[in-house]
Amino acid sequence: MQVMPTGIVFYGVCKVQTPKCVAQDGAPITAVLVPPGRTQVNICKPCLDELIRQGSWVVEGARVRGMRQQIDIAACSPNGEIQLVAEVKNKLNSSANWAKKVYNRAINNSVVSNAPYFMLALPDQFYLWKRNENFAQTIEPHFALNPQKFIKPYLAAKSLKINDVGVVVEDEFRNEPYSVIEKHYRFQTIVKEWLSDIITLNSELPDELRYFLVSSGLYEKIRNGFVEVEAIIDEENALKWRPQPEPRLALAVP
Amino acid sequence: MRNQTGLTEEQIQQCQLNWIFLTSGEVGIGETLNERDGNDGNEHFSREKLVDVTIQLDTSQAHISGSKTKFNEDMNGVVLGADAFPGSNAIDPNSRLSLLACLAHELSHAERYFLGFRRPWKGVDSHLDEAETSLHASFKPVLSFYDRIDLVEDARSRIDLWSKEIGEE
Repeated sequence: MQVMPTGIVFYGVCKVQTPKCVAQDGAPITAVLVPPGRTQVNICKPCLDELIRQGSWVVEGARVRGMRQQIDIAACSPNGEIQLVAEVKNKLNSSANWAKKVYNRAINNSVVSNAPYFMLALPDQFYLWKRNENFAQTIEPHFALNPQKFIKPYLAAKSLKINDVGVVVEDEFRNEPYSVIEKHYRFQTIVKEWLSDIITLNSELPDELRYFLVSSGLYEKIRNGFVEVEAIIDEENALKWRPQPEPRLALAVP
Repeated sequence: MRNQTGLTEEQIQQCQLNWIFLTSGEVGIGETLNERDGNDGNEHFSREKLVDVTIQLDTSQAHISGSKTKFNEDMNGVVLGADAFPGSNAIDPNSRLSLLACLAHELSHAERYFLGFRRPWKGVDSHLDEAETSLHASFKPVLSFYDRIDLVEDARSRIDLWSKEIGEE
């Protein structure tokens, strides 16, 4: 989950209290905003580092030692092997060149480059790359889909419009980082729900989806499998999904 | 330009609070990196160098107007100065840096020193050291998004300064 530190430091009790906690009874802590709803979580620095190290939280651009990787969405076969790694971005009206750049950055990640499929999910475009012998060199997406028709019911169920999950203005992240993180969380949830429904669907797939999912061979691999958001992956066992314990967030509220 | 007015007692306490927060759980406070992460021996820098390093904040000069915040390698500490607080120039990224970002920058000087970096601390190349240090600090998870941006922009402005001055030499 992407979170946003406020950079504000004050004296208080840490609400997370991992075994590394130094503020169980009060110490300097900070406030971190967590989606949904920009919930404020007061946390000490060692606990913040720990959640990032575990991969439970992601702070854009931040690194800590021994940090584990988190991927936005993993779709697994019924036996738990990761078949698809999906990266969720909120950019609307993106260009194919931009998508290729995102893909090029992503395949430097060993988990992504080991997965049979990689999807870049944007509110107005899904791109799919299929692994082959030239996976690392291939930058053109193998399949593309305009998902708006398919995600519309999911948006409507949450009373959302596409602009509530998409970023239009180039500098929106710089100007409104909190709202962008919220949008990322919303859209990630929608893509997860859509994928989960698709892979357990009993009826025929619509034609466009058949081209995207069946022709690519992906559907066969993930059918009746499961989908995880914010999957934490061990690089040593990169293609096997292992459930992670939930962070003990807010359990220590006085 | 950053703040030049000597800090009040309240401001100094605020600095201390931020410093304790920033260094809590840091290497050297009763814990070794090997114990914490499991050192696989495949690091760019020797982690052992950071073990048992406690970086103190010396507040004795902070009330003096014009005093500077700086890492002092002889005392394993950071000397707090009036310029720990931001200035009023919103255009200059260095002036804009928050208290937390400023302290994170100084802590990064210390971390880099104990990791073995020995960059020039005067002359034109010291700008590069400052730029590297700001980039180092920008990876700290405790910083806000804006602090991170300001640190990166501070690094950029220092590289610009280096480019300008190296051309003059």
